[in-house]
Amino acid sequence: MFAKLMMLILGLGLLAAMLLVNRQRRYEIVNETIQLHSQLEQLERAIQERKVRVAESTRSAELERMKDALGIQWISVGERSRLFMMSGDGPKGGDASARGDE
Amino acid sequence: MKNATNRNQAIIDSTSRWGRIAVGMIVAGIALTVVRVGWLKLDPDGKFGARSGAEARVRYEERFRGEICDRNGRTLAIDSPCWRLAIDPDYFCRHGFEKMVRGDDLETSTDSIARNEVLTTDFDEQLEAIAAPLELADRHLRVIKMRSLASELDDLIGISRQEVTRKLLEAPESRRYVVLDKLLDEWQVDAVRAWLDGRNLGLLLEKRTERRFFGPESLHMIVGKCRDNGEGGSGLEQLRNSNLQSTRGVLNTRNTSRGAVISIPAGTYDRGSHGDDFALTIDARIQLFVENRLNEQLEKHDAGGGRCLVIDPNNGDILAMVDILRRRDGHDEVILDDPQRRVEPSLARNRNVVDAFEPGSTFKPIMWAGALELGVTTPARPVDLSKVNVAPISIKGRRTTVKDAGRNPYKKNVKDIEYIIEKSLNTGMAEMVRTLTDEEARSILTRFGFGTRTKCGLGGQAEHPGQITSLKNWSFANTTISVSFGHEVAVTTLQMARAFSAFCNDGLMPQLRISRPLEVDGVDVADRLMARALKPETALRTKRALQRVVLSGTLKNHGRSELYSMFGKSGTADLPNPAGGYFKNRYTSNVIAASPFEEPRIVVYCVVDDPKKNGYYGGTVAGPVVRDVVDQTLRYIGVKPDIEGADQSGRIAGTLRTEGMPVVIGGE
Repeated sequence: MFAKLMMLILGLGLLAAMLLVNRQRRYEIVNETIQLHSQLEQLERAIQERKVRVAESTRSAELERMKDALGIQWISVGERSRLFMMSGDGPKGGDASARGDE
Repeated sequence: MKNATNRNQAIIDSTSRWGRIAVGMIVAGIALTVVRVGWLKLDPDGKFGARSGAEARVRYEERFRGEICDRNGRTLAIDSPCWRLAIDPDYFCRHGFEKMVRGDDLETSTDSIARNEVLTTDFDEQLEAIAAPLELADRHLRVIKMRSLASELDDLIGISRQEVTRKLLEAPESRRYVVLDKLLDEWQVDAVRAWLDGRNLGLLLEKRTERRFFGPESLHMIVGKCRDNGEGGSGLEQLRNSNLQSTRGVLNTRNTSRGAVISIPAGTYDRGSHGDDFALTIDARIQLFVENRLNEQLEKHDAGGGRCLVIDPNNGDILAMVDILRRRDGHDEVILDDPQRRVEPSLARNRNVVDAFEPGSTFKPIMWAGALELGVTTPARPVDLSKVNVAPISIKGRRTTVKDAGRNPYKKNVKDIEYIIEKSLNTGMAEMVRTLTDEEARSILTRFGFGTRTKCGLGGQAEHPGQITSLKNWSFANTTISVSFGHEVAVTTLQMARAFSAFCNDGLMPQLRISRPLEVDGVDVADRLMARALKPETALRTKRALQRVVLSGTLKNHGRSELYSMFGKSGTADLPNPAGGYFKNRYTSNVIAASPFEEPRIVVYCVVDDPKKNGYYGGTVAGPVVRDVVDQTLRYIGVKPDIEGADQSGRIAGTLRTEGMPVVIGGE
């Protein structure tokens, strides 16, 4: 009788322990999920921050300023496949004000 | 003996039975408890949560408003993640201040005198003794504490101590939190966090987003502005708010009293959504160039303002739209002012959309082509060229004679009706429309879309439909004749550009659009939205007449590109006097042109308001802007120069510097 009772108590104790383990694992998973979720949120925020930085440093006025600072000139790539020849010849004609039409 | 034995056995049996029943009940009780505990652990019941210290929490997750970009994906407006620094002034004064100063080196602190005063003396008692009303003493103490915080933040992250002090002192006492800075950089956030070091001073760092604009200044009025609550307040931000707006995410959790998450209730998580991105047809680079070039020209002619529009006549894409107003000191300005523009560029009134004006001679090709379409020049409706450019014409019922412009205008050598357009002859236009009925003359305007909104996606109901005289008030002498040279009709730059596109597209006008794409099943449906204004042959004939304007007419000297073939028309309209009538020596100078001649890729329309010096004719004032915009834009989008002898690389003569490596950029 005592042995049966002990078996029963041990069995129930085992069950309780399993439930506790289960609960602990559930807590851990939930916390891990929340952490991953927060990381994703932070990453999304970081991506947005990078997008803002890219937008800031590639705005037209900024590119014009850099182009002027470097002393270079835009050259069009032409209509897709038809690339223009980029010769090293100097400019032809005069500038707008030198044309005498303004 | 036997009886006694049986009795004992019965007692034992009875005890054993009751014992078994008791043990069974205990076991069943334990089993039930275990099952219930397991059940609660696996599926916690909310009603026990509060008792156990667990609590439900809601976390809102930020989502970003859609991005507005130009046609090539350059960002124009975007949500920028940032931090907002706020304070609970009451908490700070009661607890935070003491925590703040406790660990500091008082001698080296910037406000050490005030702090020492506060810390080393029983300040309240002293003040109470000096100042009778305790309230006054409290306020004084509060001011000292606030100043001390402002000074600390100034040293730490460089936000103005005066500004912080002002905000703190001026905030109504009913407000729990006072925002100290709306837009903190990451380094400032790090500095504040390091300084706080876990202390609760009543300072609050809150995640926020700030709408930032990166386009050329002239684009601000088109893109518009967002309100503090994140909703669109003006421009496209307002018109497209429903698409751009984001929905924040909601995460419900059940936490322990210490904050650890126990569970996420099933089915309660709402991810929210970012707003939809939105691409304009505008190209930020073309916009910037047009803005700069127009600004230069307005300076040169000391003009009161200017507008410039660049569109693609093939699909109605608006590539650039600039509107500039200049206030001139000591000048009697008659152009409608826009005070909000001075306050905030994004609140400006976009005159390209909401203001109509008399175009003057740039309107002649419309009426000229419309008259041709209605059969003028056929034997039934002949044009008598012998009456054109001979002398001013008097028309019965008309208040003024019809004169040609210029110092000595009457050359009397008109050989064809194209010459009327080439030399912009008012007498010629009067002859062109002579045989038209009132209905016919008016129908030309409606055929080209004047009097109706372009519905390009800007302005909504605020878009000006233009103004054309009703048939009831229409008269040949004062309306048909006037309209033939661009008077008695009010148009917007959008309407003019759309109408002019008919000459580029074999008589078809596109539906103008500010956003891309108009697609059905992935196919651009711009073609299907074309409206026919003219027959192809009429459009071609008008186009050729307009080419003569550039080659030998009013655009020959100032509006002609050396790289690309063009066709266009200039106009110089009298400026309306708000007191009635027109000024005699103030003008609206404008030029409209398209290029290249064979397959036009752009239509450019430039209007300069009230130029004060260096000439006033449309060709002289607006012509150079149109010419340079044509050169730059076509070169940029990769159109090969089609004028013989032009530098085929597409470089603008005189502007290429050969030093350094060339930079290659993508066109469309």
